Amino acid sequence: MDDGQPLLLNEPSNDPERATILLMGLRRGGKSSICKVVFHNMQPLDTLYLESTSKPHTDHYSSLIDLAVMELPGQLNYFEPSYDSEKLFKNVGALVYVIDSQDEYLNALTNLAMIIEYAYKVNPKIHIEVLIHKVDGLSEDFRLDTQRDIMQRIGDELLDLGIEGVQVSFHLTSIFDHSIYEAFSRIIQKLIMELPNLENLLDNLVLHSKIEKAFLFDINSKIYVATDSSPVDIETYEVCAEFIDVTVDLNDLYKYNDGNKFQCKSYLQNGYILIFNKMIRGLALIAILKNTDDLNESISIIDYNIEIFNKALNEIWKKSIIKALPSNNEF
Amino acid sequence: MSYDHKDHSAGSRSTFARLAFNIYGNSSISPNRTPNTFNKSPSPQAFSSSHQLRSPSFRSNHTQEELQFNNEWKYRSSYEIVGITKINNSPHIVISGKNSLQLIRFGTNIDDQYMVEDLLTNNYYLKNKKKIGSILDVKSGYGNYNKLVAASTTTGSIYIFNSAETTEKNRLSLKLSDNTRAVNSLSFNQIDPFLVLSGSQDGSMKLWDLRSQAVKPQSTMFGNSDSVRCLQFSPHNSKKFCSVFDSGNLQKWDLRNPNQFEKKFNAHTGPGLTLDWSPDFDYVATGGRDKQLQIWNMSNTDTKQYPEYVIYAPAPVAEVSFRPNSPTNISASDIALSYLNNESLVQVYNIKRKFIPIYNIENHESSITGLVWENDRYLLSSSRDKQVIRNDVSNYSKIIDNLSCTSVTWSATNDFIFVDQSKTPDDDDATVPTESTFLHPSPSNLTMSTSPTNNVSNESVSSNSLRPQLSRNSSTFRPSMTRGHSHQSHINNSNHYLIPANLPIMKSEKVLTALSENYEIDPTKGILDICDLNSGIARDSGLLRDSQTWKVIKESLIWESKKDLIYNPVPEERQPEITFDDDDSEKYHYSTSNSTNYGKSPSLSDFSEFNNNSFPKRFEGFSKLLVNPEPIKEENSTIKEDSATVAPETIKWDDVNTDDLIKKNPELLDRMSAENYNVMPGADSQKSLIHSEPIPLSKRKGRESFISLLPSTLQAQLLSNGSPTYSISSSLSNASSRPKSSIFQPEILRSQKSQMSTLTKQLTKASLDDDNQKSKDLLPPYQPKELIKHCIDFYIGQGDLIMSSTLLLLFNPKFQMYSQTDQNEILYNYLTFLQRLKAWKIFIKILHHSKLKENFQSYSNNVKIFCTKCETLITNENTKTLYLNDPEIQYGSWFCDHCSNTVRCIYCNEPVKGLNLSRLKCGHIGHFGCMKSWIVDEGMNECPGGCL
Repeated sequence: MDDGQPLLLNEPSNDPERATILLMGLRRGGKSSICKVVFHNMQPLDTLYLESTSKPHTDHYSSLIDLAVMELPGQLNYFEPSYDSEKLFKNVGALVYVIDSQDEYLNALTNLAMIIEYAYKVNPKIHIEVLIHKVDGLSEDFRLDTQRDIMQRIGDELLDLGIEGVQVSFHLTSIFDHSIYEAFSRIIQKLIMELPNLENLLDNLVLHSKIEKAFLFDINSKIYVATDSSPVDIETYEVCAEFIDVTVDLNDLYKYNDGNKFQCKSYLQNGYILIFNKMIRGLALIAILKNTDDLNESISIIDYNIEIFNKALNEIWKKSIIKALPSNNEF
Repeated sequence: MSYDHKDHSAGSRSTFARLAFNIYGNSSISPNRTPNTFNKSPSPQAFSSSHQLRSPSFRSNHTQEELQFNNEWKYRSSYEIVGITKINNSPHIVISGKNSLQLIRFGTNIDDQYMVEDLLTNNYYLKNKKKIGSILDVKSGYGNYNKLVAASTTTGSIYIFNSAETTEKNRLSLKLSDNTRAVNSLSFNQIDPFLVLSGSQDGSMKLWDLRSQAVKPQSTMFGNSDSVRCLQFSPHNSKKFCSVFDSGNLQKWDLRNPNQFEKKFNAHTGPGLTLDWSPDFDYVATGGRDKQLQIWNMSNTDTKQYPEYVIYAPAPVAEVSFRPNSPTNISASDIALSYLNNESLVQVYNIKRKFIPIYNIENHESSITGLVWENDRYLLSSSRDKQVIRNDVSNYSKIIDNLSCTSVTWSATNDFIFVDQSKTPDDDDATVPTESTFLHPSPSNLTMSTSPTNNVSNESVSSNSLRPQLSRNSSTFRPSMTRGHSHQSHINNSNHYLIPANLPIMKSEKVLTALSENYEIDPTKGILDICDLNSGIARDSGLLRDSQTWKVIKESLIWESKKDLIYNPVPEERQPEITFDDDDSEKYHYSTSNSTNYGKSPSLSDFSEFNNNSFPKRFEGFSKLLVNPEPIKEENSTIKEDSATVAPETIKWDDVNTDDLIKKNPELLDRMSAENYNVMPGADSQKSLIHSEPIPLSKRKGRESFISLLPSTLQAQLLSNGSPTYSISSSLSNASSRPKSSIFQPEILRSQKSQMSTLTKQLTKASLDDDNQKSKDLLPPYQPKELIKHCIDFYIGQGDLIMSSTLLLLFNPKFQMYSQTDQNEILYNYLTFLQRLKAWKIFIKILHHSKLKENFQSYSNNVKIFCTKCETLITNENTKTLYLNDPEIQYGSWFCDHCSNTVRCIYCNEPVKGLNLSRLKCGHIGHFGCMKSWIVDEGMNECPGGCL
């Protein structure tokens, strides 16, 4: 896909139904590493050997929604006349700005304020997501201080520029733990129009199946596109993400053809059960429930409910395609 | 070391241990899930202790009659409880499960708890429960609306129930639905009780007016796109409320301006989960997934936005609730916390003491979902284990009461430091620094420990804020950043003591190392030689007393061997004389002959006779002196002509005494000379056999046996004048503490005797008494076994590990004076002491010798060598295998099997093994020969590698 599209500015108009995420930040901030780790399953340590990105680069990603992650090299100035910056910002859903928290970040903050000012003018609906990146090198206290400092400064900068009401979210991330996945999960969730529906579906599933927590994961990236409305505990998320890895690896070892059905259960030592169910479009439902005496009965109910959930998911997806088509014509 | 950290570690040890859960750690499914049963018997331990532990403040609030009751109760429902609220001014609570809502009545009596009403199942409108979705939050109203209960659901609807309504039909009074996503939190306004606020998953907050029957919200506010996790009206101002978001933000809103928040705080790094407004002050507590509880000042107009207090919780904070105990200021407030993650612990913290909770309440089996204070004493908690428990916090002992607040630590260099802290925190809270300096407790405390005073008093500790403080603003790459407000130490420094001290032990570390290194401990090498050797070592180290001890032991051993020789004249037994090949031989020969005399005749008879004849007068006088020192001065005027102080005078008397002795008993002359030699082992002039003149006073100084003759008042003086070694007061006090007048004579006798048996100064009282009482059937006190045992006892009493251990190692195998356990204990102490000295070589030597190896498993003495090139542990297993088959192959750890890396000579680039030279400046290594030819033969100054 990449080969046929040398010009970056053609991207958004080519795929209007895609939600585009723009990945920006100063050079050596960790943008390529994030892309490689999250979307290409690269080992975090191997990102050391990544070359500096010189050209804009786009990753296409098909999940419940089609996603394009566009990485812009940090050294380019997008306010030069040669770039059609307006077009660039107009069609993106989210602007992800990566700040290296281990480096001097004052320049990054000025740069970010400029970008926000421009992007907000062009596209008021844009989600600004700031990744305070590489926090693995900071101590617990220092992280919080850094976050507060960055948030404070950006708030001040925006106030100076007279911009109000722009949605800026901050995430502390590191590619060495699950925080980057969680941050991207929350970023992508904001781009999914059907999120409330998915969430309600999951809420219902949880309510009627004695499930404690349910995630709808994207198998390849281990991003969760939806979860029920209870707060996400990072440890729960980590366990589920690891479980997907194990399940997929085992499945690859013992592959057999039985169509689309792909299920797995894992009984944890502490009396919990993890259930993996493959859904449509590379998604998987991970459910966590307590092991009880009447397990067999409830498992069959859960299986049935999950089946229904999968059907509902399919319906939603079909509808979203249809919904996307008219909007297609508007361009 | 810092008291702050100590507190932390001590306080959190238990909690961390408990929280060493992995995910979903300690969940246990209760086997007896009997629905709707009342549990009348909470833990008996809690109640047995309840009356003792109840603090007076509680007593004042409750009548004695009330205290008779067992006020803790449990209610077990049939579903997992996700929310709890108390109906205000009414003994009812409402609990909610995922799809049930029940009104429970409770009373002070434990039987009073029962379910009044299931609000959902009996409702006309709610026949189809499935449409409701699961309930997320439940709250109750205030004032006129106190019978109303609001429940929010995942479907976005809010149901308002009237719990006072008797007809089931009208129970549901309102259904408010404007949200499409789950409503996470609800709040009733306390001042305008008709206002209800709801916070939703989509980030919207809606204000509802219960007076209007319209099902439209009065206003809608959007914080940001993140979900609202918790919100609450201010109890002080009806227009203000706060909400906390998934992004970790805390926002303060004014209802009059629904477009923009009044203030935003960047609170948590992860999602914020809970929020509670202090009932007494304008402060808000927030808890988040980042395991922090933050207390925010809402009335603060400062632009700096930092929490005023931070409590680091052991797990993600799921619920917080201020205790309504009317504190005097915010820092005196108590707050209850419960945690996410299947953690069944409820902790009550005082904000001032942020490292140690006041109470740990553990009654539930699963994670806590709701916390409500009924009053300042009863805490209602609901949990996923299907129970509601009313906890009486006064039944729980305070954690701090069970913690030690003192600590002592030693260093190998005899420094020790003692920290004592009072358990009650100081009430004045004025020491909170407002500037951005980083007040780190540990460096300031370290400076205290170096202060020369032995007792750092209250004032000097509290004055440490005047010392230059560490500022973290100097961080180079972040200009003008003010960090560290979250680190402000709120613990007052004024309530603890820190006492550094240095023990006045004269042996320096160097001496200790030299002693332990040089003392011979292998008894197979000829015991008499070893005694000599060790005596010399002790003498060289300046420890004359120890040197003397060795000599005494040697003499004693010689005596024993002589005795054996005489009683059992076995020709092949080694003559003692043979062992003496140094210049002392004459002397020893001489004393040996003395010993032979002892062996021949019953040892004590000579002296008792001698004493009886020659000393009676003196003893009379001396016993008077003991009773009253003044008159004796006058009586013995001949003796104390020129005496200025009492101590020399007494010694003088002793001199005369000795002269008499010599006159009366010529045999004693020899002994005296021998003894005198032993007192001054280094003096050559003492070598002469015959002493015709009295021994000069000055040479007598170090002789402790005379000191024991002195009345106790004089001992101290003499000690301070004369004793060259460390304290002998313990042995002296033995002598001086006994009733003197009655048994004075035997004591003199004993001391004489001990002189003659070449100065056994540390013979203890008990054995001597034994000797006196039944002298006939006992061995003499200088019999080696007894002597050495007393030596060891003495040195143990002195804390001299080196001497006692060395003696043990040398003699215990032979004499079996101590049991193996005792010996091991002493050696163990010695070994740990050596570890602290970092004297590893000696450590290994002793370890090998003492056969304690098995017991020292934990003290690894292995050295692991890692290859500098490939960074793997050098094991060289491959070569080892080859080597085992073929001894020709060279094997060792001077090369690395893994990457065939060897240290190469900088000169010839051949592998270096064995003797080599290394240049300190650059670390390059070369063969001895190579380096020699380079430096000596070629006269080079630089390294062959070219380094300067």
